[in-house]
Amino acid sequence: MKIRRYIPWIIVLAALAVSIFLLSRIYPIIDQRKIENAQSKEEYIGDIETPGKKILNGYLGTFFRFKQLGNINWPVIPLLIVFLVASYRRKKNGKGPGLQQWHKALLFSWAGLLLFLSIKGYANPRYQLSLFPINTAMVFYLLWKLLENRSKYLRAFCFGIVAAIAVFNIYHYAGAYKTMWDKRIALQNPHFPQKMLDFIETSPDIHKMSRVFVINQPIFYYHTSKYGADSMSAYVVEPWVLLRKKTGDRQKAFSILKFGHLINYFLLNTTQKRFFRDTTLEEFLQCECKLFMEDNGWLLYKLRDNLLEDRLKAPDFRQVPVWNTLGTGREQVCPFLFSFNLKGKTDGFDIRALEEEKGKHILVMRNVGAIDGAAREKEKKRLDMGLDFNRQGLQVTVSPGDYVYVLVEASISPQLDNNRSNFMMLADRKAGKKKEWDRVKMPFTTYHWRTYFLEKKIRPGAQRVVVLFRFTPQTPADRLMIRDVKIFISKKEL
Amino acid sequence: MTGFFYIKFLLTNLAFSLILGITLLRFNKKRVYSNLEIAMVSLGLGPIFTALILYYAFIIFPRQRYFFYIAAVTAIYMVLAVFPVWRFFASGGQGTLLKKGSPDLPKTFVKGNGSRTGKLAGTIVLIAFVGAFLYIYLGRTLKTPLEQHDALVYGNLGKLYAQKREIPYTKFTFPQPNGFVFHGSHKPSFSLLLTWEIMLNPREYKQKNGFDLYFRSITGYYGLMILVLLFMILPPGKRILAPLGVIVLFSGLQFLSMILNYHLDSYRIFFLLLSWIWLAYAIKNKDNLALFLLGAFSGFAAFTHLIGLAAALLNLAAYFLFAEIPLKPRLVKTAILTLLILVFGGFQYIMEILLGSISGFMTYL
Repeated sequence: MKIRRYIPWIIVLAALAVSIFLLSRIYPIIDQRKIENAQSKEEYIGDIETPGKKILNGYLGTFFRFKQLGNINWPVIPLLIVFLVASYRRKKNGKGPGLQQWHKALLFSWAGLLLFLSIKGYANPRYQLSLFPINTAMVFYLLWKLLENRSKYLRAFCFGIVAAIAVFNIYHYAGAYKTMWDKRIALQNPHFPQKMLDFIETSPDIHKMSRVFVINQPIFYYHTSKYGADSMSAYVVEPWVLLRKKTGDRQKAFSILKFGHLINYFLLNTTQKRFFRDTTLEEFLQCECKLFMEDNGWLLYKLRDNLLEDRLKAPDFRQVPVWNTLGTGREQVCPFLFSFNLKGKTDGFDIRALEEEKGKHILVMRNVGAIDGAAREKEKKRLDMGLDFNRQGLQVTVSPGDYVYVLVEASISPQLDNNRSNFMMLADRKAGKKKEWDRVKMPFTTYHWRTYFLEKKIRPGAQRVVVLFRFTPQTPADRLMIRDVKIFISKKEL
Repeated sequence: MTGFFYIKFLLTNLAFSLILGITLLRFNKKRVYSNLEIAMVSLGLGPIFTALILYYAFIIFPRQRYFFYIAAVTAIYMVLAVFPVWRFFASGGQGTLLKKGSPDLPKTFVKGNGSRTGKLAGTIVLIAFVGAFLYIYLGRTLKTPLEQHDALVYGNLGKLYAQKREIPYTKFTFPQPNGFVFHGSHKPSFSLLLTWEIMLNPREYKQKNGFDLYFRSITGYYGLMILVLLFMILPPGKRILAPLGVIVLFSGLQFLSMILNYHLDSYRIFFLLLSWIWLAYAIKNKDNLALFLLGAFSGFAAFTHLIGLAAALLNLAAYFLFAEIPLKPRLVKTAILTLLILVFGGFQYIMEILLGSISGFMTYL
């Protein structure tokens, strides 16, 4: 008899042990962050980018999206099963009524909506939130029903556990709560582009005949009375399709937008810029626009008056001859590229000049044939190559105050795109003891051929100016290809 | 700077809700439901019922002056208020605004089940919680401008309705003259609250000074109402669990975000929850008030969001399948329920099916 008294406690403690075990398994899965470069909706949203997370945070997110919806939704499943079985047994044994009709109706409606949200709304926690309050009420109701005839100490213990588990979730994601608090209550992180919106509202340069191309930014229409051309509009579908392609026609998009739709500005935010970074939009913003204003994550670009290539043909821009399409070997195609006197050497890398339809290009890849075994461990992992002004054969003088423009076409292996270790850079270094560098960097964003454009004003006192290409392969198959390097120097800003 | 915010708030959320609450209480003849429960529920009715009146006014009488729509809304509330007020004065001020014999609301609250000390402690905690929330919300959060993507889309639609003075239905999603266009399944209910706010004070709108403060306040208001609902869902005697429920709700970051970030989530979830509460009542008690409120809240849920439409259809099916009444009355009541859902918000889907939507018809499906 004495042992029977403790059976409910034993069951509760066993359930608690199982719960702790389950939670310890689930948290690592839903907290992992594997993919940094958003390429799909799943990756863009952020917490459903792996298969495990897609199941737990996505399809079963109503129960297991702990960060967004707390960790008290999942007990609905076992409690509901116990409740249904108990009701069935009670009715079967004639000890009381089974499931009541209103129970069935609510279960039907709840389960139907759960199914609908799991299939159609799995990606967005806001949709799953719809069931969160009712799930909470269900957990309490079912738990209370289960413990109705038990001792009040057991009830208090069980509800105490529920509270403790919920508080643990807040503690586990305390950083996210702090961010939310700072943003919405302490108002410490400004996140509203007031300066930019004021500029748009008052700028005489933005009107009906000189519009802003608005990339999914309803903030523009809400907070200003100016005219835009929305990327979702059927009227601008052609240039928008070109800009979203991996290899769209930048020049054509420019002509349509500038002269067809009277666009003079582009408005987007940094998240979108990151999302579109392997598309023609990235190239377009770099080459045909100038970053006019950045305000709390929103970016306003100004479209240039002419195509970049046309502007660079003007007499104000002096081209430095660094690329010879008639050359055969790599030294002839770009003789200055490999005499770079930084840390990097070309040992361990296979560098060739190859012929292709559009002329010559330089191919760089790891030379693994000559290295094996233990030597591979010591193999140099990084190649720095580039052009060093005023030295190493490139006898071109760049004076402080000059603007240097670098235009390159490049392609990189897919697994290395948007990687911080693979980039091109334009930098100057001041003379003196500190010798501090000032750099403009641009990571290689796609395996498709695209144009990269860098510009920099050389600082007063700068002694050294370099153009650098950094290649950090991860596998022997990785490669970087560059072609048609063009460098212009001008006293004028583009 | 506040754009008559408090007047708009008191008028729409309290005065209008009070009128609707008193009207509903009169139908609680058999006192099946707690008057307190109906009174609390009705606090969420003012805004959505106002939006519904505006919606029908825009459909039936488009492109009128703002004054016309304000007068239409006011007239309907006046009609609803006339009867209880008339009874009050007819009894020489001796009667109450509620049904004769209805218990006084605060009295009911104090004299309900449970110990007096417990109730007092609960009331103090509740008042402290609401006070702290209002202090933070009015003093800090509500000072920030609208900047979240979806809320801005709803806001733009609200501005569009105010400018056009109609609900535009079209088969094609052409941009507006200022370039605004959006593809999504945004329903007019939430946006119409901004339209209503602009109508009440168009001068403030033109000066752009806090013209949308009332619209922004909706998020927090309905967030609080959901917490109140949590207290109500739990049966008397188990309401001690409600504070624990609040902890559980706030253990999900999304719930905190729902209250602090301007959005329609709290607004739509409130009606979704109410539709389920009254689904249970309608089947359990089989009375007409519950059936009416099930239809009204399911309709309101559909009026706010596509998920609400799914819930309304499921509620309809659930009522038909599980109501314990003979087939013939069950069919009749299901038909009435369908009609109620259509009247209280489902009608817009018929319009979208027939005429299309400016942001695309059910884009997410």
